[in-house]
Amino acid sequence: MHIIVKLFAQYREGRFKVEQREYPKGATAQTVIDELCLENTSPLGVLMVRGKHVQPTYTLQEGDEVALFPKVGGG
Amino acid sequence: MELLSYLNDTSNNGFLSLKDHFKAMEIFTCNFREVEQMALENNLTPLRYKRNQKTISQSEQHTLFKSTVLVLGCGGLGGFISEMLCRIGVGNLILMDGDVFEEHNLNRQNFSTIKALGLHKAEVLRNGLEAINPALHVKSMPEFFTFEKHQSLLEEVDVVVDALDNPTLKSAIASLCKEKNISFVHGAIAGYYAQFATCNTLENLYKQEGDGAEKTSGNPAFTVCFAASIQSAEVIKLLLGKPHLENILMADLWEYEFNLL
Repeated sequence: MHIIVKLFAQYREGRFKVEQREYPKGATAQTVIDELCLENTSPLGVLMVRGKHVQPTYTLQEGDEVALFPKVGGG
Repeated sequence: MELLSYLNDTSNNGFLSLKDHFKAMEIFTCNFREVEQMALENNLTPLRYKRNQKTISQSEQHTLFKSTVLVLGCGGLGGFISEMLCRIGVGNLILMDGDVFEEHNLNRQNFSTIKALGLHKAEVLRNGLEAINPALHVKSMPEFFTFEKHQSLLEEVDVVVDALDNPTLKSAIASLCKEKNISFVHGAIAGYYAQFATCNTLENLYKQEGDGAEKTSGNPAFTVCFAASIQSAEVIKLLLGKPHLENILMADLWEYEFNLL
């Protein structure tokens, strides 16, 4: 499947801003998170697919656009 | 002569100087706040608020004076938000934080000085704010927020400001405020990045327990001040019944990107 992955903030460091990537059928948002080792950088904050908030268990569909932001909690 | 006619006589184009305040206090044996209240109730504006106009009208200035804001957390965000709300003229501030100033706060936290190390942040802030504007009521609560002790306090104020550094607590308070229809202004930072939400739950920002990217990216002063400014703007908009942030706002001071989600 073709999936557009958009990374934000610290997730971009050493990775990319936006890329079209290939994932097998049945892959979830968590597959993207794991493949890119995002949680080595920071715990997950916002996760959106096609502009809607979803859970990491969301099953990706052909052409989905996934946006990932690190968790931000400082005060 | 009555206080009001004295203030009307001494004011200059509707503005009342500090000197006039102090003279009125002496003549009419009243305190600074009483003078300011009398002025604002009667279409006079303390000169300190001159540059708020016309962003803030005279009647809005009076609305701010009557408002109460609870600032949860007196560290990076809370220190600057409190000062901005104090300077703009929010009349009642409640500052809550059980922490004392430590050396690693000096990079960013307003009112943290070498002399203030070891002192309660909430109390240092109160003293600092009273020195800026003695007309305001500033209450310091040098303790940590708990639902058992402080839930009712949330319902007694006009706006609750989230300047905490604990995502789990931020999220729990946001949910309670949403449920009880209490105005709530969220902000958080990590490195060059910040996020904001107003009168919203934080479940889409905080899916799991635990800290965020700030533990590795730190909290630089410019992001703190930037975030405090956005949160202060949201507080003022809420107090004055203006349109406020409806979506989550993600801000990136590295690339200068702003995303409304």
